[in-house]
Amino acid sequence: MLTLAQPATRHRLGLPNLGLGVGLRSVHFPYILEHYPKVDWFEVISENFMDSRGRPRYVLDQIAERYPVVMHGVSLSIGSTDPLDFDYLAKLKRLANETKARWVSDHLCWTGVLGLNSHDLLPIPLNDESLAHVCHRIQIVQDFLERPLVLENPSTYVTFADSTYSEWEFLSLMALETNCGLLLDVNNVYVSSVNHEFDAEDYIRHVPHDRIVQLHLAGHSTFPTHLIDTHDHPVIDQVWELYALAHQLTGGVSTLLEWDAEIPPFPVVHAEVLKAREAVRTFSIFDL
Amino acid sequence: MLAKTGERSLLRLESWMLAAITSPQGVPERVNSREERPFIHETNTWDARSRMEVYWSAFRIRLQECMAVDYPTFKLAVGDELFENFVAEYLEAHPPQSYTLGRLGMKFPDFLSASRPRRESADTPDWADYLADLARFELTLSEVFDGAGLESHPGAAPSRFQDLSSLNGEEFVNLRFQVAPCLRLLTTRFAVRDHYLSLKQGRAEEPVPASQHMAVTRVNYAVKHYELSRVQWQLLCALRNGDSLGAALEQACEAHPEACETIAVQLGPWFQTWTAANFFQSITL
Repeated sequence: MLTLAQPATRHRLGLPNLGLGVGLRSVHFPYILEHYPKVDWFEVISENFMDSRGRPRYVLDQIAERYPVVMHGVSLSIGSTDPLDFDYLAKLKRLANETKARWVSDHLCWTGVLGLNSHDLLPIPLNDESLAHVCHRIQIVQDFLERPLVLENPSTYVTFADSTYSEWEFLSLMALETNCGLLLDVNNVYVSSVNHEFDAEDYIRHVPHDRIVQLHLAGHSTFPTHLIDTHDHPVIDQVWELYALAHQLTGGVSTLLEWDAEIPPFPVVHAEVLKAREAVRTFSIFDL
Repeated sequence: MLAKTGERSLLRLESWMLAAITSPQGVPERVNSREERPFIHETNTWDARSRMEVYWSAFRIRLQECMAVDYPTFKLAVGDELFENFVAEYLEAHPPQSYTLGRLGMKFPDFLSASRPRRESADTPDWADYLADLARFELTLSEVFDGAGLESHPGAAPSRFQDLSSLNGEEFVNLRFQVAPCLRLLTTRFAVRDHYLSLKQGRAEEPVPASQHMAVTRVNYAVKHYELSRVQWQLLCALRNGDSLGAALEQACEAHPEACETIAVQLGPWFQTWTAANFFQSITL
């Protein structure tokens, strides 16, 4: 049985706390290039830039000259039984080197199998078989990239009867085995906790805090029977509350807001992530 | 029938799930059956099939949205419902295989050509030709937008054709042009560029079944497209294929003897326009 992790501030694989960042989206390119707003850092979707030799890549180069950049991927498919795509990994590595990405992240998921790609972040069963499979592939990826990989907990809508671990247990074992970092998406924890009826606070208390390199925040959509991680709303209070707990337990790590649909003007998105400061003051009353 | 928990390999699970969420007919009813129900946990309020339907819907919506971003004017031309049907058939024939959604729609114009209804007349372009033309034009715009360009090679080609005016006649006809990597030369059966512009401006005009020649390129990361005469198009195609300027001019004059005089008079202004528009990466003797 894994034990409750203690507050941690030093580890994070030696990676810095970059502050409060925003996910870079193309609708904001003109604003950012015109104003170069005071944002701590940007996270970019790796696949949106790794093949670009046009304006998207030009904009990224301008931004990477002025801000810390972190790369966040959606196509690594670390949980797939298909072979790893080394052409993809080579492009990922090149982009990371060229943009001086502080770290490279993706998701604990699979996106396709047998050569087909769903372009979705699909859940894996959480058991010894998948743990060994994922850990083996993480080691290969880390060796190839020559840097630690950071993996995010996805929001999920199904869980499998094959699973023998909770998600936080699986993440803990995975991080311990591979020395990878974790990107804790607080909104995903909340969404999954409602969809699968587990205690979100319990999850956040137990995930290994010294391996958390980054926190994600986002909004979601509410349906009568479930929640969907749509990234098209402001962050709700319950998620801010969980964020404050994660902040306390990690000692504060790089935090990023994702907004991917119905995207408001850049200042609105930026203001949303800056609410993290207030949330930490308002909600940090947890007994650790 | 699926085996009990623990006996199922990860590959089998992933294959099963991907088949269920990409099935054109929807998530199979059997997901809620007694045999498969233990596969996925469910709650009293949310059953296994409904859970899987979140992924099923997301798959369709994501790919439809991606295609709509790649082919916005095509969607405008055919309307939302027909566009959705075209895309659904396309994705069934060409399911996504790449790690990037940027390649999702690359075969769409070819798919439209290959799946078109039988042509009534071999000589007259029809609506299906128009759709394939429009899709190919939009695909070209996307390729030029995100492909290699000349922005990182400033001054690679003479900015003005007059810079070459000191050349003697022999040197002149031996000139060879390396076209910019972002230059695309298109010919369509409909006046697709005109119709594209009218749709972008919100005008609902009928597409004209008249062939159109075009150059698409990029300047300072902005995609530009130009209508060309048939002679201009043929001249540029020859230069792109590596022919010398003299050979390219000879071919153009042979094909269009009526235009020889025009070519002689207009050649200078044409090349001034084309070099200013970054058609060429380099010019060599």
